Amino acid sequence: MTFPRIHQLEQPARQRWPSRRSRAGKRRFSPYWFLVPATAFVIVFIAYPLITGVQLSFENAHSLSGGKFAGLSNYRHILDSTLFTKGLMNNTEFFLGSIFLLTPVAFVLALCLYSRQSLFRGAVRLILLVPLSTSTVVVAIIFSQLLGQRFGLYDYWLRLLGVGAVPWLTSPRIVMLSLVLLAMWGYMGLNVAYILAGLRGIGVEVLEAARIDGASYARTVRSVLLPNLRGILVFVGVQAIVGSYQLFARPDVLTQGGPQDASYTGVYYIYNEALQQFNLGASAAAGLVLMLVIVSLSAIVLGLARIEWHWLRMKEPS
Amino acid sequence: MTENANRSELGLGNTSPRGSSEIEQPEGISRRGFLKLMGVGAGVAAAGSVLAACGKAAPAASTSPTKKPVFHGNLEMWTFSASRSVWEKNMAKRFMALHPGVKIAVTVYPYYTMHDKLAAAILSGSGAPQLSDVEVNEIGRFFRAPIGLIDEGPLIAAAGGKSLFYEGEAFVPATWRGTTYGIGSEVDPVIFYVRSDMLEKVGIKPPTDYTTATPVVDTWDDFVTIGKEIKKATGHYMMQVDYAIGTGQWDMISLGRGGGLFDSAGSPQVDSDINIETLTFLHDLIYKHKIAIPSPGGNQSTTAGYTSLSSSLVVSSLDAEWFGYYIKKAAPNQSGKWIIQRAPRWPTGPHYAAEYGGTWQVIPKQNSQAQQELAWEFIQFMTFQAKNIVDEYTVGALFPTLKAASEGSYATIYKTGDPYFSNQSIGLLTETVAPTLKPEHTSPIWTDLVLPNKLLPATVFEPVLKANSTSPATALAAAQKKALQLYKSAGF
Repeated sequence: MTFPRIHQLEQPARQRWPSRRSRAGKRRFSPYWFLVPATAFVIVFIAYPLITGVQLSFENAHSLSGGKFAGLSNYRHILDSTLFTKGLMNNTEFFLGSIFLLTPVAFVLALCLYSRQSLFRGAVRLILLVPLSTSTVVVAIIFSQLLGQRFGLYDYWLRLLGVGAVPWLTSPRIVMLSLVLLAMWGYMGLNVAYILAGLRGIGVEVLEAARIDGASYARTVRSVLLPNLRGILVFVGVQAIVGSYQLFARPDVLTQGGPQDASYTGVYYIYNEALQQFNLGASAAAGLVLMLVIVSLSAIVLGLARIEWHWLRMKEPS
Repeated sequence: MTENANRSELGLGNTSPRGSSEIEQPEGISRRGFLKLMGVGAGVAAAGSVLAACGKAAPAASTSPTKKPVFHGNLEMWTFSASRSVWEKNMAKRFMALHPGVKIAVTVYPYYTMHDKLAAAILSGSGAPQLSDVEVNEIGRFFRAPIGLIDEGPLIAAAGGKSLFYEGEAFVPATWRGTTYGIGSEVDPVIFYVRSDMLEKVGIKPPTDYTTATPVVDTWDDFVTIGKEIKKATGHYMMQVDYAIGTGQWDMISLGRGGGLFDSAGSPQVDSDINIETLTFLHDLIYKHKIAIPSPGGNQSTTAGYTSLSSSLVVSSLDAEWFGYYIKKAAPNQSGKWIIQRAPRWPTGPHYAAEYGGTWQVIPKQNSQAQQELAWEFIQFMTFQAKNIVDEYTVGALFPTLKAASEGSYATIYKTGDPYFSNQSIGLLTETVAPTLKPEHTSPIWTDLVLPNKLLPATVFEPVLKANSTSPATALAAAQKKALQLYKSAGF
């Protein structure tokens, strides 16, 4: 038996390495390949719906396949609608309630939890965060039973205390306050967590310096903690804007926008135009107007924060 | 994060030393150019999708009534009622056992969720089930253009015709401008439930023949007289009046007198003389005679409404035959203390059995011809066959619209007395009053008038019945004006 000599064996094809030029080309494109999934996501789930929404808002559309071009008539329709205006006013009322009730209470609670002397900090934090893990609709259903007149638990307690029944969800004057209180219950933990994270980010040396300078607790809060929390508070404010102007699930379950439209919101109008009236054009127009309101208010808050920041920087001794 | 930080982390810009040294800037295509390209791509994709949507094939034509069906495929059915879904799920099991090639999934959603999902599916042109239930307060919105439901009229005709049913309830509320879009399986006549122990406390003994003899509470005048006696003797209210959802006792009484929300063409008539007079009567029950209260939950079909019954805050109820099922569930401790009778009549004028409630089985157009045919076969199986439709009564006390289901051997099911209602039978009473049924004419603005916080609850019932802040005539006149505007703005 003879073995073939090595040069008689079939030689494997020589591996062809890409040229320097094609390697450079691949490298040039590689970042864009990484961008493709995110870009595709943005196109499919953000850009396309937005473009379709804009398109529908200019059409007399009764289905997603569109309708005849209607110019600005949908925008005229919603701006003439007292319901849409009323919805935006209610959103604003809810936003102001959130800002002036929820945020200060959350700040105080966060300060309490920040203090090393406070007891049961872990347990309190946990209790505050529990509502976040509960479905909004479930919460609304439970509260509809608690806040119900005559057979509601809260009214029962109030009667025991000798206080008359409170029309939590049936009085146009009180219903929005009830929704704000419900939001406080739901989002207090989250706001406390944000502010607490901000407080923990403040350097110990800054607080130490304030203490050495003889600053009182109130002065430390006002002159040290609050300015250092500016970024967090702006974030909480923007969150409040977005959440307040997208309010829907709670009024939907608890009051269906009533009584007398006192809890009717902008999103409720959008829902009503689309799914009750089958008027997709007006619904899309209302959606875009609401989006503009949210973006504008957020920009104002961010702008104010920037101006204030700039002003403080100017005041700092050089 | 700033723009520069973004750029440096991605290595795209030359503002960061790391970016400029480690990753070369592409030469053939700039970032701006790439984004432009993607933008054009997005535009093309969007335009393509829109064009595709515009050019979507027209919905399949209605199912042919003569074609032999193929029992193969999957059906999805949406429903909203837990009790009714028991019957529908049982029917699905039987149908699948008969036709092994068919799979039926009956999905129960919460009331508003289901109707909204169906509306969204019809608007978007995809995602609708092969068949669905639609409740009476919701059916109007589905008559707005474009109507996404098939015409069931020819199919019903081919299957034996409308005369097989109590037509008023089976078809009228689901028939818009001559086209029938659904078939209702329940009669839902309004009857009167009253606590016999309370009647006995004021010395009234009800007649044993509750179907043909003149009932104890014959007229609404009798209701006021007896109610005052009961209130005086026991402190209990006679009735809770709905004001927050639906049209409640106002429509039940008004329809029983020949009134109603709409005329036969679907135009609103909420401020008719009958309607004003009826609302004034309900207002007087609360504020003049003081024998009724606005329902604590806004409607007697709510937790607070049921608690009003179980706590004996109120001792009678005017509602459809299905409400008996909920009284039993809400107040099991009151077994044997309730009796039933036909609804009291207005002292003057005609008297009908008003219908209240109802659910229709509809088939969305957007499904294939074969799926529509299979869905119709399933509807026929459930609704046209007496042995199947009677099960709805055993599950939820829902008296069937199919006349044959109350005849022959099936009649015994309805004639069996219920110990809860002092051995009286809701089915037998229903059968007695069903021939005089007065249905509600439908309209595309029905939903706009009756859902919570919509026109009638918000501007009529709440201010008149709960707040007592305006007169019935004023509130109804204003509501009629608004209803006409809604009707016109809906394109009619």
